[in-house]
Order: sequence, then C-alpha cells, then structure tokens
Amino acid sequence: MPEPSTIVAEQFDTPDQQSEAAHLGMWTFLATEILFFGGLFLAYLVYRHFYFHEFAAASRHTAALFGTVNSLILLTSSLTMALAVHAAAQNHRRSITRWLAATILLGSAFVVVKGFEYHKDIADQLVPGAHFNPDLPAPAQIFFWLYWTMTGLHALHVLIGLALLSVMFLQARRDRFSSVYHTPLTLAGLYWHFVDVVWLFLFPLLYLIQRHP
Amino acid sequence: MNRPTKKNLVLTWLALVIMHFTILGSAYLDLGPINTPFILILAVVQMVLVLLFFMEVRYRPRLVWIFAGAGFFWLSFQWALVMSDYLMRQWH
Repeated sequence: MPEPSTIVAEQFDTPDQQSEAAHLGMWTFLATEILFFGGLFLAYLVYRHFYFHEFAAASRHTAALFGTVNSLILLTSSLTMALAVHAAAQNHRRSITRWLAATILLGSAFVVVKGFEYHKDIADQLVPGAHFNPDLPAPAQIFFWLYWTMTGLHALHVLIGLALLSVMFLQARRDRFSSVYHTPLTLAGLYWHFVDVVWLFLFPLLYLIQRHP
Repeated sequence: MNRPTKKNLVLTWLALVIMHFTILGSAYLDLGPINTPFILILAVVQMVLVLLFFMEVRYRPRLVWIFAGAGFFWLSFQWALVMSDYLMRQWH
C-alpha cells in the first residue's frame, strides 16, 4: 500500500483536501451527465404530451419483465458497489475485490438481459422504419426512437461503468486501496450509482405507461 | 468523515426494492390521474435515497450538496421553460 505522503499530489496539502477536490470534480462531471440525460427526458416529456395514447400503446409493447429483472439487478449492483466502498473505508481489503467482482457480474448480467430484450424487440418489429410493427400507430415510432436512444445511451454508460469497475478491480487486487486512500474507487462508485439513478426513471417512464386494463 | 453503516446500505437497498415493486404493482392498477404522479414521486424518493446513502451525499460537506444539486437546479429551468406552454394554456 502506498504511504499517504506518496499519494498526495504537490498542489494539495492533505489527502483529505485532495479527495474533496476530486469529489467536487466528479460531481461537476455528473452535473453535465444530469443535463445530458435531462435533455433526453425532456424530449420524451414533450412528445409524450403530444402523443399520449400512442405512447401508452407503444409502452405496452415493451418487455416489462426484462425491465423489472434489470431494475432489480441494477439496484442490487448499486448495493454491492456501496459495500465495496464501505469495505475500503473499513480497510477490509479482500472484501473490496469480492464486492467489486459481484458488482461487475451484476452489471454484466444487466447487459446480457438487455441483449435478450433487444433481440425480442427486434423480433417484435419495434425498430422505427419501414418494417415497424403495423399494429402500432405511426407516432409510436417516436416512442421507440426515444426508447432505443435512451436505453442505448444508458447501456453505453453501463459498459463504460463496467470498464471503470474492471480497472478498479485490478487495482484492488494489487492492494492499491485502503482506508487511507480509495478515492478512485469512490468516484467510480458515484458514476455507477448515477447510472442506476437514470434507470430508476427510464424504467417507469418507458415500460409502465398505462399498463392497467 | 462519517459514513453509512452496512446496515444503512442494506436498508436503503431494501427500501429501493420495495418501492420498485410498489411502482410496478401500481402501474397495473387503474388509479385514474394519480398513476403517473404516484410513480414519479416514488422514483424521485428512490433517487434521493441513492444520492443520500449510496452516493454518500448525506455524509459529505455542504459544498458537495451544492455541486450535487446544481445539475438538477439547471435542469429545472430547462424543464420549466419548455413546459411553459402547458402551464399557461389554462389561463385563457
């Protein structure tokens, strides 16, 4: 494990000061991500107002079962991520790698389930274009355009998160993290939880419009 | 720095899962105009729980609260102004 004196960059006085600066930087980045996904949700909101009934009809064609399984996977992966950071703070070094491995496995499971779901969506002709499902009204294509864009960009974030977590896993195995220094792990965790938060809104807004009979 | 305990984290997860099933179940019930607001309020509560406990905002200095809130603050302007048409329509 590196000593505290070797992990503080020269522009900082203490490890705490360095960690706080890194956290503010990460939160600034996450603010841009909030605005990025916020713009997508805004487009969704406007078109949902224009074409509410078409959106409801389209939403009933999404695979709610896949969606709910993925929600549970992602929520649980957020717990295991938080437990990895908790283990680092407690200096339980072997637990860090265990919880990170669990998070990576759950994140990968999310991607696999999403893959099966996309396969079903394609088979159900839910891709906007010439071969779009003829049973659905034309504006339902706007819904599915948003569905593919929003879930696709979210899945891209999951993949980036998995890459980050894999780097954290390798570093944890090399014993890079301790209760004194685990800022990269915490920041990767913030990114992972953010991706979870986006899904908390994607799921009900895309899968659950007027599901009741 | 204070941190969430393991118990805090597990309870947060449990609350999130219970709310997830509440959201899912409510979507299959006809609650009239309440359906969407109910689901969205629960989703916002879920988000706040993730922010406070998993992302540890509750245990961070106030400066982090401001940075974490800034994105949502700007977003509220974006949304409120775009929705102004819907907000004003009924006034005629």
